[in-house]
Amino acid sequence: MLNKFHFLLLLLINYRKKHIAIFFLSTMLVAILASVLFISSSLQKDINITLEQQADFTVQHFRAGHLLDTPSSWIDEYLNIPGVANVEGRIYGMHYYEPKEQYFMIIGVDFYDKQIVKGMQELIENLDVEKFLAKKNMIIGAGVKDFFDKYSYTKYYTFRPPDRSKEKVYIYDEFPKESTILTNDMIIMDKPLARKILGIKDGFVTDIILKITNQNEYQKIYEKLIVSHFDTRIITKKDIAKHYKKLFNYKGGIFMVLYIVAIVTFLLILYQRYSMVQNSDVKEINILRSVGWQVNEIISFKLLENFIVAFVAYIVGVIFAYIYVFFLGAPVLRNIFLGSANLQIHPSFIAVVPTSELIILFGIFVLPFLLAIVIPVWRLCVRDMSEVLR
Amino acid sequence: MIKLKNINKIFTDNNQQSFQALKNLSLEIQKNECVLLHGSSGSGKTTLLHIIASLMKPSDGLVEVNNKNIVSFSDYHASIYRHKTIAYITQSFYLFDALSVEQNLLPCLVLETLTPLEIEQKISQALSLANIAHKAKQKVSTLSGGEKQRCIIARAIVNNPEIILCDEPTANLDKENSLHFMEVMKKLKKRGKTIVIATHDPIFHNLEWVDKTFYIKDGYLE
Repeated sequence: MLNKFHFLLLLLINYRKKHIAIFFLSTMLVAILASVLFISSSLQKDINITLEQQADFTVQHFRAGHLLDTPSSWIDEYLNIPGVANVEGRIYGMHYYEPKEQYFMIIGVDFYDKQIVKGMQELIENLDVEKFLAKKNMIIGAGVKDFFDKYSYTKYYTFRPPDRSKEKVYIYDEFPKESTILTNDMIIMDKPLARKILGIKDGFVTDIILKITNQNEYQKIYEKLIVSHFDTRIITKKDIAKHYKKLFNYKGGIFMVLYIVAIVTFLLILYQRYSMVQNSDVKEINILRSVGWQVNEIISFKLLENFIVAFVAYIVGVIFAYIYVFFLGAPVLRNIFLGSANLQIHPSFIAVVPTSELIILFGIFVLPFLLAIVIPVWRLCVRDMSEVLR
Repeated sequence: MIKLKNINKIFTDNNQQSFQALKNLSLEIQKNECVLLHGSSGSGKTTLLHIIASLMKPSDGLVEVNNKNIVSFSDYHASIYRHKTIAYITQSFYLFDALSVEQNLLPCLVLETLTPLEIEQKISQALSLANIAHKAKQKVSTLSGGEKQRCIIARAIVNNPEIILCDEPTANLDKENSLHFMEVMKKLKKRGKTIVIATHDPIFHNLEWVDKTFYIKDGYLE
């Protein structure tokens, strides 16, 4: 058996040109599919982490089908509900630039509150807070930057709050390039400044978020929130999870196209492999038959040969995918996945190896690959040897 | 040793048209004999060799080798028979071009449970006997026609088979290499091998070490 394996390796090494095209195509195909698996698993993990960080409840002031500013006084009320660990009022909203019908998302951040800054630390990592707060500054997303540049707002932009005053806010910095998609239309600034620009009066916030200590009390607290005020809309963590999943499935549609392309490519590989058996392997099979190899020995030999090619292509493809996604940050593919402003962005993907999916990919890839050669090899083996040995 | 009795071989093509390649042919070849099968192209020489090598079954008739009826062999037994008893040398150079001369002998040996040392010894002996030991490490693609033929001979004899079947072995060789081939065959005969050479090359006429010559014409033994 070892001798046979040694002979097989000799053939593989010396006839590597025969396998090289299929090897590269297969490696590329596996790399693409494995990249998608890595990205999706990583994002799934990312979503789970994001959801973990999300508040358990978001309370909005909702009356007659309209969202209103939420009274800050509710914060204290909610703090008195047993089981509620943390309550926070948020300031955010859309700024509408009427001449171009353009919306920007303004977010007010308390830069001294570590709890709030935590979620954005990757975006404002090197921010000198003292300097930033010394005057009215803002950090803007790439989309906002492009827009401002286009209309010559290179140093500052003057907002017009509802009270008809003017707020000249300087462009302090741009978000890191990696965070383009999430922060594309985002502007962050100091909380009081955001409050003024958005016209949210003192004593009010945009909404209130709550975290609870014991998940077993979830339903109980939810009911208490409902009865505490009748003009509220309560968004739960489950609602947010559903929203994320919906977004994710939508992205899955784009990847259906990718999968179809992959399947077509794979079929082409199989066809090429099938044709190759007809051409290049004929001589090899004839020699082996003439020196006394049995049909089953030749079939198992060719199966092993192709298994090695497919296996190495698979491993190399997976390694390439790993490097592409987790070391290089999956350029191009990441843009398709991260096309939503609702997903929390990370400069790099969280390294997750989806073992079961990779095993399935291995099976889907290798088995048809081997099946594609069994039939033609068998047909060559059982044909009349006198036709070929002349 | 080899006994063929009343052999007929009829080929039928896809249009159901039949052609009889061998007609009621009978012959006997004793152990350690060197036999020539003479005949023009299409006379049935190769068909006869294929039947002796169990690469093909006759339409009817008896083929005995060492008192065993090889016609009834299954694929399994035919493979073992070809591996252990028969060496088949063709006019075409059926070799792994990208492998070296010695590596080309491996497919005959890897089926057996041999140690690397035993494999090395067998290869070395076969290469010496076929006069190609000096090219052992060279790739087949760089060899001349005569050297390739010797490589095929080395592969054929590496398993020490009893019967060597040669189908037009000198068809692609020049005179010098043909003589060289004959020298190797002579050596093999001295070592007790039974040799059957199908040829229409006149170079084989009146050789002292050839025991019998059969003339085949239109499938009949003359």
